[in-house]
Formats: sequence, structure tokens, C-alpha cells
Amino acid sequence: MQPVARREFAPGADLYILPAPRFGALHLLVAFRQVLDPERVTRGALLPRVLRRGTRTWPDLPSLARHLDGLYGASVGAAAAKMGDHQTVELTYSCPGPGVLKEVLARRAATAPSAGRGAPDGPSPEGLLVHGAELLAEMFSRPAGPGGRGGSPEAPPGGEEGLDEDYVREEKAGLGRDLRALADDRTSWAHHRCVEEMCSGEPYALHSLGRLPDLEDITGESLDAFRRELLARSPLSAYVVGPVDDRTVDRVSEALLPLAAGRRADDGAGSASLPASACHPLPSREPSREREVHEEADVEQARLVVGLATGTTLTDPAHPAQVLYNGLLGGFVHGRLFRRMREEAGLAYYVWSRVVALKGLIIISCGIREEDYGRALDIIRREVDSLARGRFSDREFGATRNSALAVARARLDSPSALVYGHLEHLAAGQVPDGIAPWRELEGVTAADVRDFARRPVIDTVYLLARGRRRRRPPGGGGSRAGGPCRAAG
Amino acid sequence: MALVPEGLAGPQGEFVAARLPGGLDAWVWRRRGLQNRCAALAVRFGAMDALFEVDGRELEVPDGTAHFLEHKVFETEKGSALALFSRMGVRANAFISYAVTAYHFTATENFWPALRLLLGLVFTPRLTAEGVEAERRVIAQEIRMYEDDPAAKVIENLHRALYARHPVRRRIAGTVESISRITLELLLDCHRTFYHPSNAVFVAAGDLDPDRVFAEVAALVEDSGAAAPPPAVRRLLPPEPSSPAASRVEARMPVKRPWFQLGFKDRPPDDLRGEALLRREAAVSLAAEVVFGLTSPLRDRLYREGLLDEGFSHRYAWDRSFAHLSAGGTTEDPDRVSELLLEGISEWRQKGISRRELESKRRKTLGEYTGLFDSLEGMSTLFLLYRLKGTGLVSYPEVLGRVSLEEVDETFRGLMVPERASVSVVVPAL
Repeated sequence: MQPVARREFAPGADLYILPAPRFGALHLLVAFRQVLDPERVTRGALLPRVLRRGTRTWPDLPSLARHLDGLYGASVGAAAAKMGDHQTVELTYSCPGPGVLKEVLARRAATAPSAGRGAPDGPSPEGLLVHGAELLAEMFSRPAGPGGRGGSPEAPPGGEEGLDEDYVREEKAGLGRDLRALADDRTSWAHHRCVEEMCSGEPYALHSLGRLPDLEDITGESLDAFRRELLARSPLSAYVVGPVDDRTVDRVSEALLPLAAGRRADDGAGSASLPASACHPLPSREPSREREVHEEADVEQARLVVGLATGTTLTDPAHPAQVLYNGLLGGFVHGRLFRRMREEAGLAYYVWSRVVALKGLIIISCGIREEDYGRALDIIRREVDSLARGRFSDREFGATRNSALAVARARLDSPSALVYGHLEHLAAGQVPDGIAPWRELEGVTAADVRDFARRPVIDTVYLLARGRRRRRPPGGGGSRAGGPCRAAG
Repeated sequence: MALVPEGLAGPQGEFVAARLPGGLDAWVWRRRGLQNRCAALAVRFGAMDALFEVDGRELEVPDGTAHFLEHKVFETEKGSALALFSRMGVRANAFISYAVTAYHFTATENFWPALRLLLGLVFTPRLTAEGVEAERRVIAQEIRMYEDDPAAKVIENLHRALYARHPVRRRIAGTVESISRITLELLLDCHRTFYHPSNAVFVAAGDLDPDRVFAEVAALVEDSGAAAPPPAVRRLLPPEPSSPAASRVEARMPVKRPWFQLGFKDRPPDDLRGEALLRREAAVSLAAEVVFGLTSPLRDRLYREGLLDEGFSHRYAWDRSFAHLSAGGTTEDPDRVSELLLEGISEWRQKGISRRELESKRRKTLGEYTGLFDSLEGMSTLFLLYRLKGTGLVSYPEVLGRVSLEEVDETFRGLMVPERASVSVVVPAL
């Protein structure tokens, strides 16, 4: 098990420590969480891009990058991500751990004594993580300000002087370009469109990058107000993963304090936990609410995405059975979909299914010839139906259990899987003190999976294709074939 | 069995080597502390090995042949081996480049049965005519998926602009037309020619006993009969001019946002061996980091003008017979950005690369190198690729330390010049 220690460093602000001497590198994540909301999502997506541009101390990208080069190639990432009905606004930092770094430095010194001649003395390998915590704290609390970028050195930690207007303008343009080009990645666009249709009216329908029409109205001032509000009120979860000792954790915790400086227990930040992500409602089976959405684009390969509603989220006792069900269906290459669609029918190169545990969804995705649409969809329906009738063998179940356990155990090898797995539990309203996802899978029986298999219902069928040979949608009421040519070039 | 363990200390556990039957170059990386163990086996046969002479017979194969074989190696009488691995709880896959085809798996349990399965697949083909027909449809879908991908198209076209005749011009997966000409006999011919232990590298990684790994692998190679003497193979490469074939190539696709790649054709490193190859790569990469990396004022200026996006990145691609540096990503104006990059580089040439810039990148690269050892699969496959290129990765910190400022500056001045440049652009179709 991976232990997770928790330290509250301010009301609503926690540091989670995942000591892992098995890793050579160290990782930090600082994530503010907010409810996914049309009013806030676009600012949530824009802010990390602007923060990444610079701070009071390192006021532009080149100076920030030089600072990171000096920290032995430490890297900083900035992102906004969708986590169920929540959006995280996050910054990450990774650097070499002191153990591996000292080892390569010693080796290089022994074999190439002239190396690094003329280089300034490097920072101490033990201090790299603390430098990172200071940097992430400064990026959020003292971003590059207007006028001379660095702002005035005595600017208060709250960053009273606001954001650099040029940076805001440039990043608005960049985010706008990204949003306009979303459909260029056909597979992920089809996936997004299916989810958007399926969860229409729910927060989860929003794209993690926000909404293009909202960009224009965002000003440096409104974005800075948004930043302050995050700092003052939004739940903050920071993570440190890797070979750390208590003393380093103390220093990291101290370095992150500016992130919580504006918080007071009495202004609502103390109860800053968000409402847990809500389950997508199960559609009624009779009459079926199943929808088909067909959209046209000039694609070489048609993309078919099918959304199932399962009514089962991460905190549901049936969730472990859901994980195995998904494995039987399309989570692994020995599963039904890969076998029937690729191995037997040769319809697709890729076909998979994936659980969205915070929403109670399973999404199936594949790339096919447009004329095979009917056959592909028939196969998907048949396999969902076959599992619903409990038709799977002990051998299939055993193989799926093996694979699911292996994937769960292998999470211990991945710092990002550990952190995001834990964050997902926070979004579901739980605070685990350890990570051992295989344990809950070990006890699942074939009977549990048969019970669960009656739950999934096909909710939305989405097809992105040229549309020359549109088939009449088979069965299912509420069909909305056609629609705008949203993804066409 | 000639077992000659050779210790190479990495920052996370040592690398132990052995020369196994048939001349297989085998390694074990004793990386401790992780749940996973993995193994990978790669042969020196990739998309560019399309014209060769085997035992006196000349053979030219259609585009996509090595890739087709990569798919079919997973065929067994019990169905796809991908599913056989998966039923054991083992994740297996394969990948192909211009020079190499690699097969690998990662396991928390069942490492040993998976190892036996992997070796059996690669050295004992079980291809059937029906299997080849069925796979043709699957590969056609894979090709169509790439045809929708502007990122793949812009790189593929860059190769066609940089090279006049070298087979790196060929499409790795081929086209729907070219794969229609691939037969069972052809695939078996290619297997006999290239899937020999003497043309392969093996690596296993994780908490493993090297003696046991080497003994198992040696026995499996012996049993498969693969250790028989290899065929006499000669790869036939057309002569390639040193300057690019075209300065610009354009494709139109139904996308919203254009893409570009700016490439510089380098001299193939066919006269270099071992550490000198790694040193050449280090020199080019350090120069490219200075010019195209996040610290670059040139990059910053174009980013601020909205001409470069966050995803702008650079890469030095090379094997024994080709080498080029490329940089690119998405942009609003592919021609303008290429022109401004070339102009900026030519101004930069006046001052050259400074000691301070080099040392900064040297330190960055060294730190990033240590991070590779946390990824069992990533490091193992990287290790294989470098062995097959004729060099190694374990001595990288030392090599990095030896590269001189003069070398990096000369590399910059000699390589990043307009005469060596080609631009590939993908623009929205009207």
C-alpha cells in the first residue's frame, strides 16, 4: 500500500505526502478545485496559462526557464482538468531526487573532471524540491504584474497589483486557438461530443478548456479577481511524491504557506469542501431514452462513440464490480469488443471502453469505416446485452480479474496515477489515507459482476463521419440524426 | 552458452549483459522497488529496410511490410497473442520505427510465462494466409486513422522534403494500396531475413535475477531453432545527396489550424562508432535546446506574436544512414514562422552559442536524464533503441560532460543553415 499522510496547513488547504523512496524523481502538485460551472470554467482554463508566464521574481518565460535549467532541468506544468463535476486549476513541478542526482554528479566528476567548467555552482540536490514549492507558491500568489512585468518588489503576497495585461491578452489568444482547433483531433473530439450530448445540462458536459464565446469578456482584472477568490476560498490540495524525508516535508509545507495566506477560518474557506461530483442519471429503459447523434466531417475514418450510463460512481459498493465489468467489455485486449470488432470482424484498429467513475459512465470508442457503422453498433449492443444476461465464462472472468489487479498494482509505479487517483477520491467526497486499489478488486466475485451487468444502459450513440451513406438509425427513440457540420474543416 | 556478465552502473540499479546463442545481445536492468517487471525484444528491421539482398537474391518490399509483420507476429493458433498476454494479466504491445521493430510486455505477475510467450512469438512465426487477409482490414483502419492526423502528416512530408531517395521517405504503415500487395510469402521471407538473434537486442528490467533471465532466454532461443547461422543480408541504400530534396512541401487537410515542421538535414553518422555517436547526438541536442528551448529569446518572441504555440518542440532523429534535426508544432502562419525562425537563427549565428547557455543546458539535460530511470518501460525501450543504433545510454552523463563549447557551436553553425533546411506545412483545405 502507498501510505498518504495529510497535513492541514490552513483551513481548506491540505498537503498530502506520499513518501516513495523507490522513485528517483520528486513531484509536486498544487491543485485548486472548483465546481465545473459555465461561468467559471473558461477562467479556470485561462488562469494556469497566464500563471505559467512568469512571477515577480522570474517575470517572463525565458527567465523562468533559465531558473528551471539551473535546478537541474526541473519542469513546471500548468493545466486545467475536468474531474467529474469539478475542475482543477493546477500547477505541477518535477525535479531529480537528491539520491540519483548526487550519484550522476559524482560519476561525471570522476570521469570528466573538466565538465561544467565555467558553470556557476549548482544548487544543493537536497534543496531542489523546496525551490519548487517556493516557485509554485509564487506563481499563484505573486504572478508577474503589470508595468515592467516584475511589478514592484514590495508588492504584497496577495499580488495587489494584478496580472500583466499583455500576458492575459496573449494567453486568451492562445486558448482561443486551442478551442477553435479542438475538432482537429478527431478521436478526442468525437469523445467530447458524445459526453457533451449525453450530459447536456450537467456540469460534466463542459470542456475542460472552457467556452470560446466567454473568452472575449475576460479582462486582466476579472481574471485576477478569479485568482484571488481561488486563493481565498477554493479547496486546495497539494501533493508531494517521491523520496522525501520529514525535514524536507516541513520545508515544503512552509514554502507553500503563501498559497493559504488569505484564508481565514471564518469566511467560508474552512468549509471549503465542494459538493461531491454527482452521478449521471440512469435513462429509463422503457421507453428508451437512447439518442443517436450523427455529425458530418471530412474524415478518412469514421469515429463511433457510445456512452453507457451505469448509475454507479466511485463510492458505490458496486464500483469494483463495474471495473471488472468494463474489463470484460472493452477494458482489455482479451475483452469482448476487441475480440469481436478487431480480431473476428476486422472492423476497427482501435476499440476500447473506459469507466468515468465520478459520473457513473462507461464510454466506448472506436474508429471504423462509415459503411460498417451498423455492424459495429450491432456488435456493441450484442455484447452489452450478452453481459447483461450474465453470459461470460469463468475463464473470461479470471483473465479479467488478473488484468485488473495488475493494472491496479502497477499504479504504485506511477507518481501521476497515485496523485490523480487520490484527487479523484477527494472529488467523490472521500479522503483516503492509503492507496491500494487492488484490495477492493480482490473480493469481487463473478456473481457481483453479473449483478452489476444489469445496470448499464446505452444512453447516447455518437457518430462522426462524412455522412454520404447515412443509415437510418436503428431502434431507439429520440433520435437526433444530422445536426450541424460542427467538425468540418 | 557464453555468459559474460558485464556490469554497468546506472543511477537506479546496474545493467548486466550477456551474449546468448545465435549472437543475441541480452541485458538485464536490475531496477528494484517497482511492482512491474518488463521485457522487450527488438530486431533491426524497420520501415526503411525495403530494398535488400539476402543470400544473393535482391528483394524490394511494398511500403508497410515491416509494420504488417509487426502485427502478424502476434498471430498464434490460439488467436491473437495480445489476448493471451492479457489473460495472464500482462500488458503487451509492439512498435515500429524506420529502423527497428520492438515487442514488449509489462507484468506484475506471470513474468516468466510471458517471457516464454514473447520469445516464442518473435523467433517462431505462426503466420497463416487467412490471418494475413484478416489483418489487412485492421491495418487499413490504422492507416485511415493516421490519414486524419495532421501531426503525422507534417512529419511524414518533412522526410519527403529532406530526402530525395533515402527510404526514410517511405510511409511506415504504408498505404491501403501498398498493403494490398503484401503476401504471406513475403512476410515469411522478411522474417527469415531479419528476425535472427544476431540482429536483435533483448532487455528485461525490474527486480530480476540476471542469471535466471539469461538461462531462460538462451534455452528458448535454442529450442526455437533460431540460433542457426544467419542469412547473409545486405541492405541496399540509394545514394543520397547532402542537400534537401525540396525547400518546402505542403499538404492540405480539413483542419482548422495549420501545422509546420522546420527540418535541417545532417550528415549521416555512418563513420562514427559507439560513444562518438552519442556525443554527436548530445552536441546537436544541446545546440537545439539553446535555440528552440524555453529559454530562447527567439522562441519567446514568436510565442508572444502568436506564431508559436505551447506545444512547439524539437527533435534530433537519426540512425546510421540518416540524421536530421526538426522543430515545429501548430501555428497560425506556417510560412511566416519558418521564415522568422530561419532569420532569427541567422542573426544568432553572428554571436554563436555562449558558455553560459551551454552550461545551463548541460545541467538541465543531466537532471532530465536521471528522471528516465523511473519509467521501467520507457527506459528499457530507449535502451534497446540505442543499442541497436550502435551505442549505449548508460554512459550519457560522462559523454554529456565531454562535449565542448566549440563542438556545440560548430554544430549549430554548420547544421542550422538555410541550405540544409526544408519546411513542411499542413494548411486547412479550402
